[in-house]
Amino acid sequence: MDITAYCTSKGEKLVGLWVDRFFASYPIDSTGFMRTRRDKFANPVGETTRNAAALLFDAVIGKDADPEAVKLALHDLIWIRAVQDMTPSQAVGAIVLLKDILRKEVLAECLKPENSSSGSLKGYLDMESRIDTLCLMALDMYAEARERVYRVRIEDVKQSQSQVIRLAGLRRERSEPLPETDNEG
Amino acid sequence: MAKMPTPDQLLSAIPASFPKAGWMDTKPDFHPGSYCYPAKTETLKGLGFENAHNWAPDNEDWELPENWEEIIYNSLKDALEKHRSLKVFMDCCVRCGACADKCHFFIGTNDPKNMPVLRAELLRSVYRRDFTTAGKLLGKVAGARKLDKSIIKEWFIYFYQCTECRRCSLFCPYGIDTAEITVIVRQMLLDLGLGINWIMNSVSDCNRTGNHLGIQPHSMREIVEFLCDDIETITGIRIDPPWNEKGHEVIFITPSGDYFADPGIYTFMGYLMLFHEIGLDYTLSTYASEGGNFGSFVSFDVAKRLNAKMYAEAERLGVKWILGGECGHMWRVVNQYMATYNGPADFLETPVSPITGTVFKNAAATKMVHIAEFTADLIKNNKLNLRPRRNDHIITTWHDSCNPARAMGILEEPRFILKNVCNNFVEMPEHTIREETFCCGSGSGLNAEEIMDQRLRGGFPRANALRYVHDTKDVNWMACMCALDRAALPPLVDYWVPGVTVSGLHELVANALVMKGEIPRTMDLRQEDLPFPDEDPEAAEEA
Repeated sequence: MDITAYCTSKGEKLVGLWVDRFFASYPIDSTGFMRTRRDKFANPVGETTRNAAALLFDAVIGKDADPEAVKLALHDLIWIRAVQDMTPSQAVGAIVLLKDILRKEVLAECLKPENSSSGSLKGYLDMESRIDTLCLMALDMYAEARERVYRVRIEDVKQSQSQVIRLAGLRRERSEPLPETDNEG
Repeated sequence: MAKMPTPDQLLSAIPASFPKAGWMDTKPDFHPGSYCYPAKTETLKGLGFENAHNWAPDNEDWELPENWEEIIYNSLKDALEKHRSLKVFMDCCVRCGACADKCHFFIGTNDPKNMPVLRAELLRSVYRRDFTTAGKLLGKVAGARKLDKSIIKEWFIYFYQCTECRRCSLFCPYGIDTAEITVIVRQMLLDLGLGINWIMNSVSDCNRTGNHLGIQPHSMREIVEFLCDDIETITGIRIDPPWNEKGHEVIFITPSGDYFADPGIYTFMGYLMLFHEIGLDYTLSTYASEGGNFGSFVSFDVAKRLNAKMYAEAERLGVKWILGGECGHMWRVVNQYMATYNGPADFLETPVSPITGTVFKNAAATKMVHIAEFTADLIKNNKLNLRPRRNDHIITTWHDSCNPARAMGILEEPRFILKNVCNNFVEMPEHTIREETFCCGSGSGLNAEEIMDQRLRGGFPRANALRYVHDTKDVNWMACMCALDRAALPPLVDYWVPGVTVSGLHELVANALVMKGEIPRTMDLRQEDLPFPDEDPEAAEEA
């Protein structure tokens, strides 16, 4: 059994289930909109999530995936969730829930006696390891996003009164004696 | 023994689970970052809000006045009598849902209470209970609910998650103006002594000193002298703008953020350079140095008071008309409220451009011209010598600031200017620009740093459209004409689309403006090297 081919054949369903797990982070009154409004400018959270899930799924099941594209998709997904008032585990954790879906939908097929000799269990475990990799990458991205938020907050305060700070600096300079110098000339 | 929860249980991420309670019974959570800091008691008292008191949003008890229910009832009754629009807005919504997915806060948070229909319902449910027969008789069945303290808290969270941008109103078949509802609820909260520091402190400073930071006149003048030093470094030309002087033709009023904050100061330098170049007979004023009306975010009465200052100063100085800078809410106030607040301004004249002779008939009532109209007219009449090549390293897009776009319809003038001062202009996608523009996420006084997460998610739809043109068309600049935008978009861009610079319109105008007697320009207004500097005539001669 070629597990990549098997998962690809069930891809639409599996990605759909996974996307639902991401959308479950939001109140149910909003998920209808997130699911049905297929416009990346009118529904950017929903569409970014959907696109990221499709790309990450391909990477998980062992298809050839451009590492940079995978990183970017994960980054976009996590940087949204990082500022949506979620706990860190909620922001990152829906990635790990793909395991739950795969165990229900794919594992049984891998464990069938006729598939035991084709290395399908190893293929299955490799998929789970790739999910772990995504989780670790997402953790880094989440931390980076939060650090950026704090940096942005500091910059915001500084910029909002930049000229007042400049004036204060100048006044301090004026009231302080000039530094002594050995230069007589 | 208890077992560890599964990841599903930990994350409560079971799809299609139904909420335990309906929206009326789902209460907001108060934690640092979810609310703005409260206004200081002395600030509110100084402005005449008699129920001002010490309180903290994350405390269970907000220490409301004993008769708080009566205060809210009277406040709402008063608002309904004063604003017939409010009564119509309360009664006519058919819950069609056209507004529901148009709010940037809903799109960015996916919180249903940020749907404008539901945000208004937070007030409407109380209105029904107290002011409609059906609500009185049928209660919840008729969508009514009894006021309790948790509703006050809900109002505080959700009406401070509306930037009064009015994108929802554009899509409402009845034209329900959520911004007005928001202002009225914020006024009701102020009647209980509940306001936010960033807005009310600015209101107080504007009221007393003239600008939102409370900078004294002499310091303000000194700061502008710095900016003139910078202009001299860049152009070799010394500008000495008049302050508080009588007998000039025009008073120039802009948001005070342009005097003090990056990157607004570069826009301010642009104004000064333009006025100098065309020889405009104008004065600045320390008394009326804030055009952005912080009062309009929270109270019609306070808005009126601050708006009156501009006109009182124009009258005192004996100018003919007012030229207004790149501001957002100032223009909604001027365009839609000024006439009833403080009009008619009969002591002023219908504005006429002294350079082109154009009569601004559109400003006949308010006597106040938007600088984008003024500059577009100068360019149209070939009065400016422009060298857009200086901006050739810039690929810019235009962010339609909500209030000039939706409350004024000023859509073409800034684009006309931008195309004349920059050779590379790219529009963001349809339905995210012009009257459908997405808000910066920090308007109406929500640009407080303590709610940065909220601002970032509220601004995400804007940033998302910007990101698209950044990725596909190499856009590296976003121009706008609102001081709140200039304050709020840099952090937004820093988080979502690093590599894009935010500026006002007149920064780019002044970069391209060839001034009489200037030195060859080698740097832009930020004193960064120009990749395409002017040729030095002396060097060219030697060669």
